[in-house]
Amino acid sequence: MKSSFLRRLINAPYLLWSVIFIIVPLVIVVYYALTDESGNYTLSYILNIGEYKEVFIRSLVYAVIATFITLIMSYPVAYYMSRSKVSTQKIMMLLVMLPMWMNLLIRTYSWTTILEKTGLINSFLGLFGIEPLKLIGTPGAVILGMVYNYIPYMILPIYTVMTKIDNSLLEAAEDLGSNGWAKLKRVILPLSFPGVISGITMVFVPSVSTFYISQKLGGAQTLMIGDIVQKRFDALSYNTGAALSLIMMVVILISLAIMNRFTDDDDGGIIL
Amino acid sequence: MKLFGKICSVLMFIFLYAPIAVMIFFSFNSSRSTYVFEGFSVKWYGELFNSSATLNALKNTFILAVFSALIATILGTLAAVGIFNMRSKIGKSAFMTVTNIPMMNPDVVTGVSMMLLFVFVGRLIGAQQYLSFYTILIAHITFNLPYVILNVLPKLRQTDKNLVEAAQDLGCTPHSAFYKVVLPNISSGIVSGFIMAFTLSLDDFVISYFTNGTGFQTLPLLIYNQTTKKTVKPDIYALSSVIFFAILILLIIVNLIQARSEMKLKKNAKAGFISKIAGKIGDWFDNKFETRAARVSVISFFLAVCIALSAFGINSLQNNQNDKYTELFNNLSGTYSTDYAGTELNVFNWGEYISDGDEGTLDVIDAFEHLTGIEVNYDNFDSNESMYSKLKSGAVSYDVVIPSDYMIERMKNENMLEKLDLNKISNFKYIDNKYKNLFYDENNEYSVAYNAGTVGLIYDSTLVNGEVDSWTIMWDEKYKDNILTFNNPRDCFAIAQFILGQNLNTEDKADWDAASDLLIEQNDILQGRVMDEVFNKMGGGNAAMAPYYAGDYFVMLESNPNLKFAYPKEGFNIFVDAFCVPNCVKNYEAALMFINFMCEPEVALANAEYICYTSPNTAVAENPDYSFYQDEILYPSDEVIKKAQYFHDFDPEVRKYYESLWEKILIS
Amino acid sequence: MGSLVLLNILQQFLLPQRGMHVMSKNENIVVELENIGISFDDEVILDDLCLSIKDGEFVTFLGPSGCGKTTTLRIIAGFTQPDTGEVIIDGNRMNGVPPYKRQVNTIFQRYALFPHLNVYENVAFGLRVNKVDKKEIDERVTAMLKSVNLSGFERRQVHSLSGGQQQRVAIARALVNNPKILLLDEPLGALDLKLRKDMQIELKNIQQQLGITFIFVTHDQEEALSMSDTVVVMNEGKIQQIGSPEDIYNEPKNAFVADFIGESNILDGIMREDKLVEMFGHKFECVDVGFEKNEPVDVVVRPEDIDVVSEGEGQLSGVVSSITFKGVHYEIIVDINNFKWMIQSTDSPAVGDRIGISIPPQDIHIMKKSEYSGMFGDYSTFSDEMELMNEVEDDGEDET
Repeated sequence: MKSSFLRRLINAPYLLWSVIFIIVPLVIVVYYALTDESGNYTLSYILNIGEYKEVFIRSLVYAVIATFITLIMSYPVAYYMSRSKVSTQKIMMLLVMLPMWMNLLIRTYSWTTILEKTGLINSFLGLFGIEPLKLIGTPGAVILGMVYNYIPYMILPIYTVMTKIDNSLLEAAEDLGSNGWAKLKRVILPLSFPGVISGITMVFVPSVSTFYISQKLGGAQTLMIGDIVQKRFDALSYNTGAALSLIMMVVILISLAIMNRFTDDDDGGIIL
Repeated sequence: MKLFGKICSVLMFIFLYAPIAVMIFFSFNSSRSTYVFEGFSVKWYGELFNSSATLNALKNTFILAVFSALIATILGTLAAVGIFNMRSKIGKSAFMTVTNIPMMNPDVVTGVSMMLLFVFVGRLIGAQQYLSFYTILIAHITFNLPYVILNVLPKLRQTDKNLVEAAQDLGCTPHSAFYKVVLPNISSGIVSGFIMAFTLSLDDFVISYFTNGTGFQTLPLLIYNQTTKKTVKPDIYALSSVIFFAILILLIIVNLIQARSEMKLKKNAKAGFISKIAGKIGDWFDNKFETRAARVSVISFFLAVCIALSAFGINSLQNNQNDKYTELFNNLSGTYSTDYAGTELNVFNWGEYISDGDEGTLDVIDAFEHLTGIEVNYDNFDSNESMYSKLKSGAVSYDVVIPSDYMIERMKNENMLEKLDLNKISNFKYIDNKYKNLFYDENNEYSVAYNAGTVGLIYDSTLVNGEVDSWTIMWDEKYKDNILTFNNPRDCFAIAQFILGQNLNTEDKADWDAASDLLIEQNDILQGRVMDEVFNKMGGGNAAMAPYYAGDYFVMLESNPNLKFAYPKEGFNIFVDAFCVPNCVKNYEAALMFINFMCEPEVALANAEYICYTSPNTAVAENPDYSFYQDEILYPSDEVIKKAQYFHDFDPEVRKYYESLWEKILIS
Repeated sequence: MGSLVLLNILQQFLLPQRGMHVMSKNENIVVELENIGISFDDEVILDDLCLSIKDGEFVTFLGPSGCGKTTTLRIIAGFTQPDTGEVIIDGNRMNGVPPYKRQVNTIFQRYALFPHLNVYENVAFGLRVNKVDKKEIDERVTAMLKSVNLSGFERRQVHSLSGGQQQRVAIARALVNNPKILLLDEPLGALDLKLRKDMQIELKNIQQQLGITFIFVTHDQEEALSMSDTVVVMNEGKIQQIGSPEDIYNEPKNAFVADFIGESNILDGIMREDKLVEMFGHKFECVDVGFEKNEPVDVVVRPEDIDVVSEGEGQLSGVVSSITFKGVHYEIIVDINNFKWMIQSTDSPAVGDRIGISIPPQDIHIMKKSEYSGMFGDYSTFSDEMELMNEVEDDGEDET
C-alpha cells in the first residue's frame, strides 16, 4: 500500500541516524572494552576494573548521598510550590529553572569563591577570629556541588506530579480524619511517588557520572569514576576508558532497573 | 506544613542563587582575583568584548546550537510522525527504547561512545583527523533528537485524528492534510523541541569535550579551559553574568507573552500592570499581522536579523583594529608574505602560553593574522601527554605544536615531526646557543626553542616558617591539607626521585617502586593534585606550598606578595618548550612563518613579559627594558643550574610501568 | 434557535442550484453498497452488507456500538476501504478512490474543527483546498456563516465557541462545498438534551430544503425515528431491517429490532393457526397470517398497547410487582406466570394488587424465530439506571 511505504520512508532518516549514532557507538564501546590496543580480544581490561573498585564505590556513595539530600530538600519546596497561587507557581518555576540555563561549569566554579580557604565563608568566620575551615577539597564540597547542580532536576518532576494531585483528594483525606502527617503519609507521598522516582533518576545518573565537580571542589581523595574515564581518554587509553564506561553504564542500568521495580510505569521506562 | 514549605523554599532559593550572586558581584572586581574583592570596576566586561577568543567561542556556540537544533528538529519531527503512525507495537517500543538511550545514558558515556565511533571510522578510512566541526555537530544532533521527539509526540497524540480525515474529506490529499492540519497543530511541540534542543546544545560541555575538533571552541569548552588554567580571572564571571541577564530577560519576555495569551482567553480577568502592557503590545502586533503565518514569518525574520546583526557585530569588533599594529609591523626583522592569506593555521599550545591582548598586552595571534591574512585556530593542551595522545590518535591535526624536550625526543623517534626549513626562520639567529642542539634534537632539525623553565617549590611565608631548601617539607605532617602537588606523573615522580637521590631518567623498576611508595605516603596530607589551578590556590593563600614552574611564581606573586620561591638542594627539573611541526601538518609554509614571527624580538619580548618564563631569545634576555632582565630566578647562575636535570624520553615499557604506578597512586 | 432564519437564508442562497437537482433525480440510487465485507484483526466488522440509498433521502444507520454503522459510513466517505464488495456512488465504482476525490462531506462526531484556524478559515478550508477564486470564497463563506447564524463570529477561535456553535461551524464547513451526500457521524452526541432536540429539527429542515442525501449515524433510536425517511437497523455487522420509522417500530422483523427500538415485551408463542397465537397456554387473537401450523414464534407486545383491567376481566392476570410514575403514564411491572411484563398505563394500581390485562388483536405482532430469540428476557432485571448506563457507554462509540 502506498501510504505504508510513505510511512516507512518518513522513519528512515531517524532509523538510520539512531542506528549509526546511538547503537553502533555503544557496540564500539563494547568492542574497545573487549579488545587490546592491537585489536585482539581480551578480557583483561574488564577484569582489571577491580583496581577501580574504590573509585566506583566512592562515586556510588557520593551520588546516593547527593540524591538523598536533594530529595529531602526538594520535596517540601515542590509541595509548597504546587499548592501556591498560579502566579506564584510561575515565578517559582522560573526561579528554579533559571540556574539550569547557566553553564554547569560556571555554577560549580563560583562555589570555589565561596568555599576556598580565603573564600567568603572563611573570610566571614575570620571576622570573629575563627580559624579557617577546610571546606574545599572535601567529599562534602563534592556532594554540595552535585546537590546544587542537579536540584532543579529533582524539584521539577515532583512539582509536576504534585500539581496533578487534586485538591479535593486532600480535602477528602481531611474529611476522613487525617491530620497533616497522615495526609502526607497516606495521600501525598504515594501520589507523588512517580515524580520522586523520576527525580531520583534524573539526579542520580548525572551525579554518579560527573567529571568536573570533583575536580573543582574535591581534593586528591575525591576522584570520581567520571574523572577517571576522562583522564583515561585524555591519555588515549581507549580500551581502559571503554571498559570503565561500559561498567559504569551497566552499574547505572542496574540501579535504574532496581528503581524501576518500584514503579508500574508502563509508558516505556522513566522519561522526565 | 505551609509555613514549613515556605521556609524551605526561601532557603532553597538562597542556596540556588548565592553562587550566582557571588559570581555577579565578583565580575565587578577590579583585581584579577575571584576570591578577594578589591574594588568596583567594569573592566572585565570591556575585556570580554575585546577578547577575540571569547567572541569566537560565542559565535561557534551559536552556529553549533542553531544548526544542531535545526537539523534535530527536522529529523525529530519526521521521526515523531513516523513513530506515531507505526502500526506495530513492538516496532514502536523498540524505537522509543532507542530514543531513550541518549537521555538515560550518562553524558560521559554518550560523549565517549561517539568519540570512539569517530576514531574507529577515522582509522578505518585512514582519515588525517577524526574530529571536526561535523563530529561535534553530529554529536549534538544525536543528543538533541530525543528531546525533539518527546516534545512532538504528545502533540501528535493530542491532535484529534479526525482532523486529518476532515481535511481529506474537504479535499486535501494526505500530503497536504499533513501540512495544512497536522503541522500547525503540532507546531507548538516542534517549537518547544527546537528551543530545548537549542539550549541543551548551547549548554553542553561533556559531549562537546569528547567530540570537538581542531580550533572549534564553544563557550562551555572555553569556560572549562579557563577554569582549569592558570589564573581564573573575573572575566568568565563577567561573561556568565551577561549570559545570566540575557536569559533572565528572555524568560521574562516569554512569560509575558504567555500571560497575555492567557489573558486573551479570559478577557475580564484582573490583569497586573505588566501583563496589561504586554497585552497592549501584543494586541498591536496581532492587529498588524493578522494571520498566524504572517506572525510566524515576522518573528522569524526578527530573529534572523538579530542573529545576523550579532554575527556582523562580532566580526566588525574583530576587524576594527587594523591600524593598531602599524608600529610593530614596521619593526619586524623577518619578511612575511601574504601569499597564504585565507588559509588556516592550527596551533596547539599550552594554556595561557602566549601574549593574548589581555589588559593592554600585545595580541600576538591577532597581530599575526593581520600581518599575513592567515586565520589561526588556537587550541590549548594542559600536559605533554594529552597533547601527544591527541596527535597520536589522529583525532586532530595541527600545524604548530609546542611540546617539551623529552616529548620532542619521543615524537622525533616516532617520526611524528617534520624537519624545519631553518632558512625560512631567519629569527632563529636570536636563539641562545645554550638552547640549540640539545639532547632531544642534537642537530637542531626539528625544533626552535620557545621558552625554558625550571621547577621549584613555591611557598607562602605566612604559612611556612623560615627558609625552605628541601623537597622533604612536602612530607611534613605539620602542613597536612596545605600541600599541593603536580597532577602529572613525571613532575610528581621527579620530586620523590630527587629526595631518593635517583636519576630522573632511571629505567630501574625498583627505583620507580620506591618513588611510588613515597608518593603514596604523601597522599594523606595532600590538599590536592593540581596543575594550573595552583595559581588560584597559591595566589589566594589557600595552600602553604606547591611545586611549580619558576615563571609562574611571578604570576602568583601578583596576587599574593607573601609567596617565596626556592630551588631545593636535592635538585630540580629544567625543561625547554619548543616549536615543532607535526607530520600531520597541512600548512607547512604558514607554520614556518608563524614560528619566525614568534621569534621576532618584539613579539618574543611581549610573550616573555606575559608568560614570565625564561626566554631563550637573546634579543629579550639582553634587553635592559625587560622586566626580568638578569633575574635570579628566571636566569639562575651556573652554580644553581648544575643541580638541574632534564627529563628524557623512556622506553615504552618503563613509561607504561610508571604510568600504571601513577594510576595506583591516584586511586589509593 | 433561529432555525427559521436559517431556513430562509438557505432557501435564498442554496436552493436555486439544488432545487432542480432534487426533482429530476429524486428516484435515482445515489449510493449503492454491494456485498461489502470488512474485518479488522480477524474480527468481522461488516458481513456481506448490501444497501441502496436514494438521492435526496434522509437515511439513518441505527444500532448499538460496534454494530458496524460508523464503519459503513467511513466506507462511503472513503476513509476505510472494504475487503470485499463494491461501493458505487452516483453510478461510479468508488473502491480505492481516496476521500478527497469524492463529492461527499462528513460531519464528525466531535466536529473535528481545526483548532489552529478561526471560524472563517475553518469554513473556507475546503474551498481554499479546491482553489476556488478568492472573491467567491469570501461570498460563499460569508453567506454560509450567515445562514448558520454565525455572522460576526468569523475571527473567533473555534475553541472559544459553545458546543452548538461549533456544531453549526461543522455544518457550514461541510455544506459550503455543495456536497452531493452529507455524512453525519453521531453529530449530536456531544450536545445536551435540549440543544439536541432543536438541532434534530434544524438538520431535518436543512435536509428537506436542500434535498441532498443525508446519511446519519446514531445509536439513539428516538433520534432515528423522528428524523429519518429510512432507518437501517444494524447489529453485528449485518443489516437487521430497512424500512420507514413506522415499519421499524410497528413491524419489527426480529427480536433484536423489537428490543432495540422502543420498549417491548417479547414472548415465546406458538402459532396455532392463522390469526391465532398461543402464549402461556392462552390463545390470543391476532392479525398475522402466513405461518405454518404450530410454528414456534416470537410475539411482541408494546407496553403502551396493553390495557389494565380488573382481575379476571382480561386475558391474563398477575400481581403488580412495581409501579413507577413517568409523567405521561405509569410504568407497571406485572408478574404473570413468572414472566414480568411491562405495561404503560394511566391507571395506577398498588404494588401487590392482582390485575388483569387485555391485548387488542391488532397490537399483537408475530415474528419468525431468529438468532436473537430468547436473548431478551422479561423486565425482572429492568431498571432505568441500567439503561442510562448503557447509553453513556454508547457514547464512546465505534472507534474503529
